[in-house]
Amino acid sequence: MYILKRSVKKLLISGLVFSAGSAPLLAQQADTLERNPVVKNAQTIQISGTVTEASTGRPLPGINVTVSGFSAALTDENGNYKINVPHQAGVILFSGSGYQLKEAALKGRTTINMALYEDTFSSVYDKAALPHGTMLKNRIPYSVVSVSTNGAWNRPMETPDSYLQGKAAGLDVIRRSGTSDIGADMYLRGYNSIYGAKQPLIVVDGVIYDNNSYGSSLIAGHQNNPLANIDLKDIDNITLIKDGSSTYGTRGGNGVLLITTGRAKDVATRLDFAAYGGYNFNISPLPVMQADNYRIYLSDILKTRGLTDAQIQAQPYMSDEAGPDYYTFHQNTGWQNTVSNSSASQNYYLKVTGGDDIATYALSLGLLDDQGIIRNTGLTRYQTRFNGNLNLSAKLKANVNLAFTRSEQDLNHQGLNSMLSPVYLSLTKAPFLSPNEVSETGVRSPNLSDVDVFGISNPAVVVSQNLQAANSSYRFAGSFGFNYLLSKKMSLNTIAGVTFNKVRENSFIPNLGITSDTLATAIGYNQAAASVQRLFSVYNDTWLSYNHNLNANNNLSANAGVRFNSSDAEYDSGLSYNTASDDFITLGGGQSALRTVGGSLGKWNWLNTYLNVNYSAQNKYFITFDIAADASSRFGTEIPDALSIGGVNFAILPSVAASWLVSSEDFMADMPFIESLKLRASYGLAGNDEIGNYSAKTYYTSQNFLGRFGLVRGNIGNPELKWETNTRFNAGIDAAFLKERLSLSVDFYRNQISDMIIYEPVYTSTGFRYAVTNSGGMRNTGVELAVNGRLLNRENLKWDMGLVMASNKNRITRLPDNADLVTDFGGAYILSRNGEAANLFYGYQTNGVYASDAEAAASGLLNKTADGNYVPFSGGDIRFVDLNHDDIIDENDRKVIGNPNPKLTGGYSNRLTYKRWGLDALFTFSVGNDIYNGVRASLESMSGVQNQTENVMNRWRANGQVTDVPKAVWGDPMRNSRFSDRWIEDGSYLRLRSLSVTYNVPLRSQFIRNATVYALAENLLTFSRYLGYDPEFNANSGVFSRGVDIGMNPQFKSMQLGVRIGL
Amino acid sequence: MNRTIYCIIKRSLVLTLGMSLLVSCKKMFDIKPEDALESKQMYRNVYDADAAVLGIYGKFAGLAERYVLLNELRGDLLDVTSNADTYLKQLSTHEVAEDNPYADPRPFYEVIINCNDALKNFDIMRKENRLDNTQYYQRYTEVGLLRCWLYLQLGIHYGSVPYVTDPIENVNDLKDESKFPKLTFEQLLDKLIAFTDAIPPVYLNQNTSAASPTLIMPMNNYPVKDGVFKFFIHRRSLLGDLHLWKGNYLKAAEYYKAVMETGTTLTSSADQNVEIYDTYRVSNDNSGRNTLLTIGTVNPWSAIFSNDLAEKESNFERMWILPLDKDFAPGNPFIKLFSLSGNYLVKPSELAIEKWQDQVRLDGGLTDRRGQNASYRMVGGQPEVLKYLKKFDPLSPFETTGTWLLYRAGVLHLRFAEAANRAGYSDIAGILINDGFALLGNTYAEYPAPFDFNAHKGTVNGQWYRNIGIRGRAVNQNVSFDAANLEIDTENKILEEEALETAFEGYRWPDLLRVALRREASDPNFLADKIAAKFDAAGSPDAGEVRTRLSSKANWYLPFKWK
Repeated sequence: MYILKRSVKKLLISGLVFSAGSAPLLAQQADTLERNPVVKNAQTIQISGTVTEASTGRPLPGINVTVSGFSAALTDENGNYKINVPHQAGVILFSGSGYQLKEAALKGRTTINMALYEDTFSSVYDKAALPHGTMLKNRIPYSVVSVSTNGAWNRPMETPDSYLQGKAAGLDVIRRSGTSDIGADMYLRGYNSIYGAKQPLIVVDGVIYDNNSYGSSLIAGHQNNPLANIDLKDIDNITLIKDGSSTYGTRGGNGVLLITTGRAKDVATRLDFAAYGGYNFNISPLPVMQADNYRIYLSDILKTRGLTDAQIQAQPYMSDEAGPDYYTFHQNTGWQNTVSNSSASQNYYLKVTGGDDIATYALSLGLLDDQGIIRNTGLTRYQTRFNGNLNLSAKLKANVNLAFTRSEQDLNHQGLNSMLSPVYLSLTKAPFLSPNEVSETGVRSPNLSDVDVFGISNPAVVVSQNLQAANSSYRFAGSFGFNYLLSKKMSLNTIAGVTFNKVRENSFIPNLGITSDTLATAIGYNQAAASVQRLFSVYNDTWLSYNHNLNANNNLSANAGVRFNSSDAEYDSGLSYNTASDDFITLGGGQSALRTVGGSLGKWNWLNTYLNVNYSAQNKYFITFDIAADASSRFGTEIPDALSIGGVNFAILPSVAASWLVSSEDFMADMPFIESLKLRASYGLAGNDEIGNYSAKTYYTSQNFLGRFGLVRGNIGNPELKWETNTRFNAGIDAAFLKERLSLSVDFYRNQISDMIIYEPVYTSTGFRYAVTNSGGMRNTGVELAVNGRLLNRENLKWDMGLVMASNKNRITRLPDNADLVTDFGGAYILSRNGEAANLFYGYQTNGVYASDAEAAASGLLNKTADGNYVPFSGGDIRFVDLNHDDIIDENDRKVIGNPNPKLTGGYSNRLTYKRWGLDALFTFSVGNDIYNGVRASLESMSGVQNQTENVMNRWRANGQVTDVPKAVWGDPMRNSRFSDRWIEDGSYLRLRSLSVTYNVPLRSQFIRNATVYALAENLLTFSRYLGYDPEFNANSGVFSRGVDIGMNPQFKSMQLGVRIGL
Repeated sequence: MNRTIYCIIKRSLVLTLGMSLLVSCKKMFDIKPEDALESKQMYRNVYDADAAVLGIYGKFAGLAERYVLLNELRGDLLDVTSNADTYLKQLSTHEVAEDNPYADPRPFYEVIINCNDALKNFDIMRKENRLDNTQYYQRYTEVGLLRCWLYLQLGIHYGSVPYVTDPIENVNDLKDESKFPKLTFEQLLDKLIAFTDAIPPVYLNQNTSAASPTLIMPMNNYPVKDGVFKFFIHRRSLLGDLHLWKGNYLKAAEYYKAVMETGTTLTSSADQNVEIYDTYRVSNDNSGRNTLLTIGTVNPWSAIFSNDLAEKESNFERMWILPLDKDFAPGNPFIKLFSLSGNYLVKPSELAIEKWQDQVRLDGGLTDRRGQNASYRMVGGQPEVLKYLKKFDPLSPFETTGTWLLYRAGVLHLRFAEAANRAGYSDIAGILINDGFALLGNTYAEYPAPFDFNAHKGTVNGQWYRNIGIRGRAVNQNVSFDAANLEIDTENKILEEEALETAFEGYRWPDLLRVALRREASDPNFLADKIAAKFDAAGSPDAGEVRTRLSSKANWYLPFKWK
């Protein structure tokens, strides 16, 4: 045991030499070091100075002052220190519990006074977690953003992805919808692929975290968000590597997000408990017509259907005569409030950390309950995590991470024209109807109404318990890592992890109150469905680390290793119709002839061998070289010019990054207002391997022939199919001024994506529509800016302000045959054209409404209708602009009418602390992006019995009427509501994304370490001209769905009160 | 020192580990798809070969709607309704734009590419002894002839088409222009005939369950007998058609005749009744049921299009038929297309109806009994194609099972007549389309083959003694022929008879086009006049425009969309 303890001590010492820890342990060990200085150069220089607190100027005693690998000292009670340094070009490191870590370059000086900020201060000296350990940001030659969450105790309802919104310049985070835990899509520096992966690679505690969902949801508009399985409070640090490092090879093309979960910081047993209760505010309704105006609209539209006045009068809902149905059709229901409501949320979290010299642990448990704003929906998430560190011997360390999360969620369908989406139905349902049956005398029954006289579902049924849309998922992620010290300079590391993720969905759509489905062989009155998505993945990363101080100021470190990832995904679904009654909701209860099953299987392996070399000279010149060689089961077998070993093709992706810490040069010694100035540049390749598991192979799929199964060709294989290559160039400046009161970081980048996957059209005579080829190219160029300033820096009052913003410009540089690619999504047409952004709205230009038949006739224009006929316009039709002057309005008259990509995105944060009070406010913004308001297009199309917005009351009704709303015609035969600039809106917004007020309760108890009270709010204020519910949504992560509003559950305001107690 | 060695050993261990990982790579990075079949897993045995054939026919069944629309709507017997969209109207008025989805040749090539793939691999399998000769040829013929049939269709509709026979296994094949040779219709016919000539004649007999026990098996509720057997292409009749198009009339007639005489005295075949006097002979079997004659209150003739697959008398007529089963994709597209309770996009043309109404029956009455209530019916004053709807009841909207009848004896006899007429045997042609050989004894028994028809009735009956001819079966009066212009007049009469007998089944445009090509020099406006007559009869103002358009041969073909 004694030996073990001694070796632990030794280990810690050597650990100290290599890493710049900040724990109190450091202080104890520092003495040892001073007693046994590693003297390499007899000509040492003595440096002295005073360390003070930046906000007060008070001297700080007990601060560690170290010269890495050489000497260490502590400040005395007056904050003074003296330390020997080996060389004038060296640096001194200052650290202390509760204070920031800071590095000072000597620059020929012998007196260095240092002012330290508190440890939550955002600084250029912050530590960033890199794939092979942590590094101070000022020493990293490429572009990284390190976000220390500090527990994120004031953001309990966020998922890690949505939390990052507004935090990192260049990371555009768009929340998908207002569904709990749905998370956000993250795009680093724009879209780096059209058909491949677009989101950064996520690595949690050294293990790749598969954030994809496998298989589509049974619930329209929903997607499972695996990242929600990590509780934000478990996270210590999130580092985003934007650039410059190709170590993750063909998976790093979208950047790498390294997440480090919390571990015990010391051996003392600590317990943190937090509880929150919250309130979600109902959304404010959109202005749709009430019963009176709706009835007028309805009679207008029915007239255009060919019904006579008498026939319309005879409709039950038009008759004002007293009768058995009078009350059924004479309600005035605000449907939006029947499907959404204000609701409650709660969150409990407990974390215990502690241990001894040999083992430390961190264990957390959490429960989240969030009811959302759609009635009868809600999420319950249970989460546990165990992280342990073990010192097995002097040379062997181990760590273990285990996380298990279980979620149960009641969902709702989303999307346009759906007979199941509460949001859409509530907007379009006839307001004179009632959610419940109404008797002859007007008494409302508790029974819900059936499908209405128009055949439209009852929104109240869609949000009732009768309709089931349940998702339950669990994820287990476990990993075990070893670190073995081979010698002082070399260590062998390995980490092995398994992930098991299972998502089960159950859906039941009742007969009562929901429009029936017309199937090929029957009417589907009700529908039961179930599905399972499963992912099993094994991961290993084994590497050799080498770290060598060539002399006092030059360091060489290198890592060489192999990562292997094997994944196995499965999706199974079953669907059946017509169970005996709405009480039989299982899959087996359906009619056997109408049962269908489906699914998919996917397996893939990925091997990444890498070498990483870092060299720092004089503590001011840093250079990093990375190279990765990747093999994947997804790659083709005959890739031209690729390195092939044993018949396996490898992607070779090198990168190099260099930086110059100008501020550490001697000539900068006289410019004290410049605290730090670093110039950096990087160039390198990264890849994207999301090219489809089997696209490279030629394969056969099954084809039925009267119940027997045959096989037919499934594709034209592409044995040359390879990864997409992202060639990234980045130049940046990191600087801090006025003793770090002001710091800024600017980046310019140019990412050229080549070999981009395209579904390339092929000859008709091949019988296929397309082949998957690497025939595309795209470029992203942009600027990023991050500024932090401490505006007020007093003992009791501090004010930090931060601004991150980024501007990205996306251009397609290559398409097969330079042919335009037009894709439709949610009623919008999206153009990809060489030389333009990948996803432009491509539609018709309008110019008001023809005031009269004569005016329309005078235009001489013919309109191509949906079935290809040419019909002249008449009064009340939209004046579409004949762009090609052929007097015909058809698809050749489309032009780019909007760009959904923002010109500027970012976040603006403020943090104010006054004595024990704290105020955090984060604003997020998006500027210059267009939105296709598909919801409004549907609510102003005036083509059927669906209720419309109040705007349609201005519709054209008579010759001579000048208005900007066209006439109402059944079925909209002239396609006045087609995809045009009428529905393109400015999607810019500024939002008070999160606001928190905290109060640290003063305590006298020995038992309670600390207590904090929180008052929190999310989405409190949004400034936008957008006419829909909310300008932030993302129907899916694809390029083409960007900015297309198809009626997702809107974002909503919420508030929480919480308390955190530490023991 | 020891320490250094220790280090070196450890390092080399790590390196070895890394290297061994790399060596085992190949297996690790060759993962077979589990919800699809990788090409190297395919074509390993006869069951894989069968799967290829079934897959091809499964895909082929999806062409039914396109086949009928292209071949009929472009002809003179089918017209669009007011519900039809522009694209259908374009087909009817021969003004087809390249983006017209009905004119997209891709669906044909979707089947062709699979045929190419199968043929190539059958060759390999035979070479590697994974298929024996019979297994190989039966499947090769099934697939190869279907490909010829598809190319014949493409030639008919597009004129010049790329004749792709390579399976296009991967994207590199796309770069090879020589794999996509563009041939004119004439060149195409030569290629197709060359291909079919290479098939050993014994394999021109239809496949049987005895020859291909793994392929010809019961399917769903379709037993082998009289059913499954006829799902696959009718071989010799296709060869006859190819030669007829090419103008090899004798050769064509020989192939047709061989089919007409399929019937034997051995009727115990597990696959099908091929009764000597009735199968494919357009006969009256004197059964008292007056098979397929258009007499009686229930018109038996129209049962050809609606009877169950296994029904005996219908099988004397049907040669190639695919069920469009409601339970299996692609289902039956015809209900929606033709039915008034469906989309009702196309209807019988005025001209077609007039043709039936002008016929004189044996009893002296007007109106062909193959017309109203057999080929079409009037519902509330609107004509509706009945051939595809007879089994359909709008009150059971989901009972949509129907059939796609691709070849039958009536057509066979008309084609033989066409070939015989052009081969100099106009008399034989005339008899076949009129009231047949039944009453002619052995008058024609000694004609040179294949124009010999022995209808002797006695102790040993001539094989043709029950043949009652196309018009005879329709109980119509015979037509007479202009002796002065016998060949042309007979051909005209055959075409007229085709309109009456086979309307809406998918033969009309090819029949008109074939004759138009044949008479290109002598009667260049033949096709234009024929098609314009449809618009004239309907009183449509488009008639003149259509006539002008079709006066130019270039407009006889659809535009071919290359990408």
